[in-house]
Amino acid sequence: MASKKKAAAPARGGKRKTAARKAAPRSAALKKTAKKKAAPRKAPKKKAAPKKKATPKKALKKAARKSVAKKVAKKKTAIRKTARKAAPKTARKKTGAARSRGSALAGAARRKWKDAPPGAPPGVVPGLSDEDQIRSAKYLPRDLPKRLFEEERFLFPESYGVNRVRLLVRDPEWIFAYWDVSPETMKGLTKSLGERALALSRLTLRVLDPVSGGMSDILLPPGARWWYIRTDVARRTYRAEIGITLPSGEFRQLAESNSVVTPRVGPSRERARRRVSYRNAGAVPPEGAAAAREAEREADLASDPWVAGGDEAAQRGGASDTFRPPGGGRRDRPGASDAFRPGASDTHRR
Amino acid sequence: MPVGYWCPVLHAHLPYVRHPEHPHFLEEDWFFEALTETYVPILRVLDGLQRDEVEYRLTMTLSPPLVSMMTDELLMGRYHQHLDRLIELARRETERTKREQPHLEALAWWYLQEFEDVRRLVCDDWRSDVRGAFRRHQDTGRLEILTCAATHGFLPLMDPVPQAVRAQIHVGAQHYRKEFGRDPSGIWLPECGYVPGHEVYLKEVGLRFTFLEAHGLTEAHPRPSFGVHAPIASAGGIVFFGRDMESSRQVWSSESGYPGDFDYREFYKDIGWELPLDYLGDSLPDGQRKNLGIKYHRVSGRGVDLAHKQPYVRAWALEKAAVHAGNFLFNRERQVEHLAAHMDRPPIVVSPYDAELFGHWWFEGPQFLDVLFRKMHHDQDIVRSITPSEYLARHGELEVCQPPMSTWGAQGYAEVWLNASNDWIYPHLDMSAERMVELARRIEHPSDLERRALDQAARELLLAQSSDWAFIMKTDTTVEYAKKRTRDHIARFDYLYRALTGQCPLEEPILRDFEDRDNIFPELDYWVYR
Repeated sequence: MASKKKAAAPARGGKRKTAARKAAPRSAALKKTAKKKAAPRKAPKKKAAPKKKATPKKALKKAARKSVAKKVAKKKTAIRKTARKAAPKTARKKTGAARSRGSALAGAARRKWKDAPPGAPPGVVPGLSDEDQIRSAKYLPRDLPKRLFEEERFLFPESYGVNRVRLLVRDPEWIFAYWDVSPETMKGLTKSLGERALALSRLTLRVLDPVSGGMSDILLPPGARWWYIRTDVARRTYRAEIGITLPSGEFRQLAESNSVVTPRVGPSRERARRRVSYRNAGAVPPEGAAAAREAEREADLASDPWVAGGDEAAQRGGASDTFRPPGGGRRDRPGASDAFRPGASDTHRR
Repeated sequence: MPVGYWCPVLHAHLPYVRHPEHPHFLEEDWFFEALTETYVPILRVLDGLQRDEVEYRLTMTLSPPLVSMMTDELLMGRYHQHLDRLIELARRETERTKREQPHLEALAWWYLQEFEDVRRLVCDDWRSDVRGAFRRHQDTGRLEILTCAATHGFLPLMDPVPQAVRAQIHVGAQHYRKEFGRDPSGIWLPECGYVPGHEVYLKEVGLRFTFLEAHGLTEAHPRPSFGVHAPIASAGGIVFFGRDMESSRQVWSSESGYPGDFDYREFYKDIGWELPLDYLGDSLPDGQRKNLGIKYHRVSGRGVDLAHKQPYVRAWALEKAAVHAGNFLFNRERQVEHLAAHMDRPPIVVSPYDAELFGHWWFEGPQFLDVLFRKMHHDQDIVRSITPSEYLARHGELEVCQPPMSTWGAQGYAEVWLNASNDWIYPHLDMSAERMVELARRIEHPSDLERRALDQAARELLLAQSSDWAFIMKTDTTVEYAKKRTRDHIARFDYLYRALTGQCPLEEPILRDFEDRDNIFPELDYWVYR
């Protein structure tokens, strides 16, 4: 560990120097351009406002073109401002003048959750006297935060470009399924099936019981990316497949999920007999973790095999159409004494 | 020999909130407030018990993010500034109350004294090493500190990517070893979230026991003979203690719990919201109103609105804390007597609470604990406090039962962390975890820069997985911040993944920026994801 850190340290210092050296001439040039561009920008705007009607159309167009060009330039400068070192004041001016779309977004985000005034540098707050503002200056950081990477530009991807489906157990009565189908796959399907057939096909979530058999299909509405599946009282193990149901009714599988086991509900009918000593407790599992899962699943496996899935189960899945399963899992379950539920446990947290 | 045992467990955790990029960051106050109101007061109680040679046993979790914040130079430096501002304000308050509200003046002086004591302890006595102060108590054998998952990730919902669960546990245990100089014996599973099979990861790092919500034991199979009042061993080889609901309710319940007593300090009426902004000045560095920790009123009565709260009388509140401690002890005595009559060993009553409940939410909570431990030591022989390790050493015969999936959230399962308000995060968390595993397996001989990027990617993933973000989204408190944190960590992870897979250049300044911001677990090795 230590050697790794040591090895990393010189690399870090070296890089920093070269980055700074490389960036220095560029940033100096940028400063100039930023100032040059920023200065005339405000002046004509103020003057132009009352004279708007008198301005010839050509001039207006030219000005518009110029401002677009400026904006593009500004964007580039804002994005590439790596390893820039400037006194806080100049840096502030520059960011103020050359606000990229990204930093505007950043500003919006900051405002939303911090209530800072738009465009204001950190530390300047409305509603304070001049004296207060000056006093607050002692808390300003020496360097204004350098934005090397703008997280607010990140958009959660619609698809990660893979075919997959996963199941999570929420409670004994609900399972959460989410999936991803890559655009490539959809293109391939369009090619092989034709656009018309694909338009008539439906993305389908197939829910299976790998232990006692049985399955149900949930025809997904367009745009759905996850689904809450109502579980069946009689079964506990689930697996899912994501696929396409073709107009012919054929199901074409695209990906297969992990398999999950819903928790058993209510006290076990069997009383514990086997005992171990704590010293040997660690040695209990000749079978390891698989044994734990198995023991839990086998605990009181439903004696009634699941009746063939089909429409009825599909409709149950449909009960979660709004993506909001009604109520909690345990509420009306037999044997769960509400007195023993820590209803208040969440109200006091933090 | 006592008739039965009481095992108090305080779970101390806060998410890793550290923003070097801002001079003041509102959410960092969570940590500062908890230090002033919970962690330092609890340590003072333990110091006092040790000084007076009171035999007590307490079990605590200090989550890795919390310990990391306690040992972070930037945050502790900011905490000093925070205390300075607070003391300055308290001093001004003594003058203001003398002038305007003489009936509160004594209380203002009390606050000043209190904050100065905290500063003396933290800055002078402990030299900013709060973790070290806890560690010294652990070394006396009276306090047992447990480990926790690396960033308090909610393990049941990480189940599809086993390496993610494994990394949370391994990194947590490794961090514990580094910070406390010994192997952890037990773990607090975040939110008591257990899924059968996770034992294997606990065993890999040598953990022996953990805690479950009551139904984790009462609904185990086969049925344990003594409910939650004796630990069980699972087929996976881990010992489980169950939460006792009776003692929990006495403290947690908003209706019948002690903290709602009319003499206790009112949490919501704080001078940060009441006095003029220009008077508060420096105490609100960014001009935003917030709780400042000076509160002059008591709960006063059921349904009394904030405007009509009565002044807080410290002596009454302390008296009430002592009364409640007596009541709690009386109830435990009767409880263990009743239980012992039906058991072949002394019962253990396990009472886990969020540590921040004591002091931060229930201001007099630390004094309650103080009196309770003293009474338990001096006044009776029926019930004694104990740590899980000690109990197992004395009464190590365990029934073998398999607990079901369970958590201590509302309804007992994963609903709090998986519902319409926060379900959208799981596809992204899950995909990032899979990508992390892919990177760890694919890149066997990384360059120095790549190794740093891989380690940082693991940090970003771990931070994104904190259960706090989903919890906040559900409870609708600082939702924008929780969303921002989820997005920021996933965005940084996404960049590193793309850079490491050749989809974009890996820029050292950007990586360094990530390392500076998210500097948790400096010793982390990405190999844990293989």
